[in-house]
Amino acid sequence: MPVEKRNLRKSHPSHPKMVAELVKHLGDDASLPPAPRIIEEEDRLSRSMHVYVFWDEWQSVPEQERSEIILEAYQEARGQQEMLRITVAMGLTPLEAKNLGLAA
Amino acid sequence: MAETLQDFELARTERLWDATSLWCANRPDGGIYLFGYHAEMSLKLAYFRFLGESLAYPIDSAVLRTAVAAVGLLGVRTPNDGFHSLRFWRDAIIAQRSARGRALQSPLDLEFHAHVEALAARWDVAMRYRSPTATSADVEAAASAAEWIDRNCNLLWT
Repeated sequence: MPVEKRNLRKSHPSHPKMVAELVKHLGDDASLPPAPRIIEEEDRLSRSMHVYVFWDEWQSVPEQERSEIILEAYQEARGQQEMLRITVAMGLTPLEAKNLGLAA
Repeated sequence: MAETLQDFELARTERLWDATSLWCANRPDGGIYLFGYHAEMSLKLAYFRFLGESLAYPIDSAVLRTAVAAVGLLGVRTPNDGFHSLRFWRDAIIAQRSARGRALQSPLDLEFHAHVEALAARWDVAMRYRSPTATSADVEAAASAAEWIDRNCNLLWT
């Protein structure tokens, strides 16, 4: 009987699609819809960056995978060195952002 | 409220002294637990200091999740065990340094690997609830590894 291999952790089914969508939004296409909303905060001293992505699509995505999706998108859109500047990558639904006081 | 890197700096020194006190009081299991705790704080401190963060920087779950995701993209597959794994933080430091063209030089890299391995083989965060019966050789090895990590912590991030 052949061995059946299973991944211990499965990616969310929308993972690749969400990365691709974020990559588009990290470009400079002004015709894209307003969501996802991407906020970048840069610390000029350490040159590190905090990225918050407000998006309804996060609803069913685990927190760890939200960070992975954001960082994958930055790596694809802006390269590895830029991705490595990010020390906080938080994906939040608009309601979560509001509850945390992050959505202005 | 999230702990800052300054809290980590203070806690690691305190826990190293506590661990040594327990070792001297013939309480090897408690000693090893605190030597490991000291190492965990030290490695997290070194990781985030290497990224350029100040001592006032707060370390919360979002920061830890981002670290796991970032080093995952650098190829680190070491389980993080709820962000507590010594092996994970060692591999994360090594990966971040390599990716930025500042890899640890020999023999520091080899010693770093070996000392974390020596401690990780004897320590687990679950030891706060239950601990195996450590031998005197175990606690000596854990103490030696923790002392090395303490002495070289700054070199890991500068």
